[in-house]
Amino acid sequence: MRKIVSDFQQLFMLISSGFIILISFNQLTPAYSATQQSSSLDSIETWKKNNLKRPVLEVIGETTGDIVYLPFRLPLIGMRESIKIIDNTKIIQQINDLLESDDGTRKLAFIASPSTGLGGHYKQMKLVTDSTTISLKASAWAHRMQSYELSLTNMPIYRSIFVEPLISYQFLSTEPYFGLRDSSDYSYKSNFALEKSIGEINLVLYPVKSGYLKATGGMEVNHTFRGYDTDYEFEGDIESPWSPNLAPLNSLAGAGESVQMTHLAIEAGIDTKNHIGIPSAGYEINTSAGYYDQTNGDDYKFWLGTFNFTKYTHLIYKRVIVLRFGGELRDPLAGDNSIPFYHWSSLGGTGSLRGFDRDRFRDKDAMYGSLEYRYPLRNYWDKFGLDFLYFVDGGKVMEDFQVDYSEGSYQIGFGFGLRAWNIDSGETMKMEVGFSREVVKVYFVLGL
Amino acid sequence: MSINKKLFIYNYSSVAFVLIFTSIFGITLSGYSFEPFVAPELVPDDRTPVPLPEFRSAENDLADSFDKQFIVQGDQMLDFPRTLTKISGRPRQALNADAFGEVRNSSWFTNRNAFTHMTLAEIAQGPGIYSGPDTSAAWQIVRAKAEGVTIGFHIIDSRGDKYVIKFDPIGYAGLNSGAEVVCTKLYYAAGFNVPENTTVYFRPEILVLGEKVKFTDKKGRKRYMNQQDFEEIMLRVEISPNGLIQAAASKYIEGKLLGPFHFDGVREDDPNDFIPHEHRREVRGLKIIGIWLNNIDAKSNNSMDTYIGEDGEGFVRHYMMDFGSNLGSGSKGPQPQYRGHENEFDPHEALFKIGTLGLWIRSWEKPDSVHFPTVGRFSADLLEPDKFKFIIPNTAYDNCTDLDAYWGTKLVMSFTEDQIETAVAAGPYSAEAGKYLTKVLIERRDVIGKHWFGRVNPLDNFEISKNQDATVLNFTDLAVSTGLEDKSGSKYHYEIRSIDNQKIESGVLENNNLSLASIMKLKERGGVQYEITFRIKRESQKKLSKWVKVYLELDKSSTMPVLVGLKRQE
Repeated sequence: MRKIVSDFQQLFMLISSGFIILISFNQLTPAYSATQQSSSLDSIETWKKNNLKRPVLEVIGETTGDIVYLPFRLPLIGMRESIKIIDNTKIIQQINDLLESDDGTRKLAFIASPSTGLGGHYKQMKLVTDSTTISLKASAWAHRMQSYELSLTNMPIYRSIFVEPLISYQFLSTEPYFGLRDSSDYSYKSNFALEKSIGEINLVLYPVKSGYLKATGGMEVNHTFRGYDTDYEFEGDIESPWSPNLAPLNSLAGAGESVQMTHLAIEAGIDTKNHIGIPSAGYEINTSAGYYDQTNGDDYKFWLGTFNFTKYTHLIYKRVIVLRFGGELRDPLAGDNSIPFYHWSSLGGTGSLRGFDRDRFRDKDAMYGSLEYRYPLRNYWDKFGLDFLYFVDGGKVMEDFQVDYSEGSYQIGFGFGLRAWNIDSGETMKMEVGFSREVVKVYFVLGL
Repeated sequence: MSINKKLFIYNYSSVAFVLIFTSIFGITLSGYSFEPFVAPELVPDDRTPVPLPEFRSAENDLADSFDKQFIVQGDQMLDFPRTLTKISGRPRQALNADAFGEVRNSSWFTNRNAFTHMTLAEIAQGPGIYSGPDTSAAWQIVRAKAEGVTIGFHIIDSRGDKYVIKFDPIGYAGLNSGAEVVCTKLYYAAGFNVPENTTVYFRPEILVLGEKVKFTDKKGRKRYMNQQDFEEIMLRVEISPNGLIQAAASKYIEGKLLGPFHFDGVREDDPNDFIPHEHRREVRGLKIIGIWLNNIDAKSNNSMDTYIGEDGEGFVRHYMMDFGSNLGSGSKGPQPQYRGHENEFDPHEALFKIGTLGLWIRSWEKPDSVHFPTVGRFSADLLEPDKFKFIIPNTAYDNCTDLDAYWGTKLVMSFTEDQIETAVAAGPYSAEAGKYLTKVLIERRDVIGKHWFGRVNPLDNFEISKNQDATVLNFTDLAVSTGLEDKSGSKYHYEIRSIDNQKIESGVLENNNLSLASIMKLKERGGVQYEITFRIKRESQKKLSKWVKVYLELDKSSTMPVLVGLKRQE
């Protein structure tokens, strides 16, 4: 027993001395690095203690600032992290990759519009020639709002003559309606639904560079219903779309009935602008004349003429003035009430009279003008950029242009906006804020 | 109001008035009092052995840009102590400047040309001992960069050395590669750590696609590169009529790569990194070199930390890199006109333009011309050093004080015309383009010098010498020595005070040495600090310059006073 204890003692002493030697060796081996490292790091710690110590007042001041900034900082951090995730995952490029074929002949783009909702625009390019394109647009929104359009463009048939067929179906369930005439009251705001089917063929001729002639022949079926305006308590026929105090049903042409019409039109235009998306020089003129005749009755028949002129003037250092004016004239050919009200001229919204609601004013004739001044906030390599713009729009709707053009006052809207552009693709993204005597409107437009 | 109340208000107002008055008077008086100079504590060497830190991946460029443009700007604005000290003209100074405003050699910076004038051969050699990759044998491509502004390959040459090959945009041969090489020489000579960058000319056939080469294609898909991808990339590379490709070859930096450093804060896992980067003089002063060389892309991702030495026995060294968008190069073409004048997304400028209806036309908006495609858009005509803007705000540069800028200006002004010409000669420029680039660099150097040497008193290089038994304080007027100001038109007003605020002597010097006889007479007082204040009066300027105060100490036993430090007025 004693021997066993003695052996254990010896073993223990052996192991202990081994440990001691090992520890000593370990301490000796890195003699240079460990001692020098610790002394240097000690001097660093001492320096930090002496020089990085901050006065209490400074710490209090900084903490106060941090607290004040916190509610703003947190959302900003969230935005930064979102940017990081989106960019790191390359999700935008990957979506683009999904939406566009490798050879660039097939493309799907998102479209958005207040009248037709959200949807997609599919294009199949380079079909027969480099410019022949077949495209399908489809979009939808709440209240059964939907729109489909299939078209073929730049299909050559003989030399510089092209054929461009189009078919479309739209159910526009929330078309705004404020009554007719220039004097309609904003408080009468209501809406109606319009079901519209069109089939037409366009023949396009390019006789000169930048100029075209177009002849159109087609058929359309339109039907109006009551719109989905939840604010407006309507009592009456479900198919009556408008407030009875705006216009009695029997005085509103085309209301509540299905109207089938043929139309023929010719159009001529010249386009000399230097870029598609962000022109800075050149002009656009187009004028058209059309004839509409009802085929499922004799109530509706009219002709219309339109004229548009836009001039882009480069002032200095990428400052551009855009002057635009135009007009529309209509005349009934089968009695005073032979133009369906949805075919009347309308003004209001991003395309005509900014600062007002879309289609705020309706009447048979209209004239409008616009002056826009835009200048660069940033221009990247002359390829893409961001412009700021100020604008003034004016216009009026009239029962008869020849009588009314000098009477009464014009509706004026003005505002400012931002426009991001890409010169190669011609795509633009616009955000505009318009002011008028009635409302302040913000418009967001994505597209060409 | 009762009389008592009125009296109370009256008394209260009087007390407040007296307090304010005495404070202002006290502050005013204190301006004339002698403040003994206390030398800052010597900054410990930051190259001591530390454990190997972890690799840190590159920042997301967009997120970093958003961070610096919005979040950090808000941080700075609401950092009340910082804002107050800045407004009061006493901004927080760099933490690692020594008693003379200089910095020690460190893992960031090595005193080179401004400290000891480098020879032209040294300038020409730069950081490199290699002359670029071996072009006589195949290069194996191991990585590719096909997305983004510039394209390039990571290759291994026949010697086994790794390089990053960066191409020029088509139609602008030498634009990026020239900027890369010239700036490498100048940054290195200024004192910063840079990779070895050289211009190479090679036949496209020597590029061999390696196996499993990772790359991100133009649609953002990460995958292995195939021969078709390689050929598509090569279509974006210009091949000269003699069949050669011109590019910049950047040798892999020595040591273990640890990812980019940040311009603010410290690397937490590096014990040597103990001074917040935004408060290091060499990082703040880097701004001035950036202005000189038009290094508008001063972001974290254009830097690199490496671990030098074996694991546990090495230290972290900090490199500046990617100079391909310096000088007149905008990477994919000449630098756009707004660069240097506005941030890439500049909310202040945008608001200004919106408010002024775009009618206030900036000088840079007027059309100009690019004289040489290899040089790009680069001139000194519109350079305003204090208004220069980088692509994104840089936290360290935002903290740059006049004293940091003065330090940076000394680096810039240390380059002679011959040295600049030598650095430019390393680039792939024609004689005329090289001459133009040299001229612009000299002009920009002088614009910077005039600006900062005009804002801060440029008397420097103080030293005490014995001249035939007379003890003399010698100094250099950097504005004169660099040819910016006329010597005959410069006079130096001085005033000597002792620690008891006693005026000992004052006068005006026309040369650069001041006799210290009046101080030497007081030697018996022993251990006393003396302050000599210098201001400059130049014929070209109406006012006296700001002051620089030099501090001396003289012991009873000493034969000469000792310089202990200096202070400069901001």
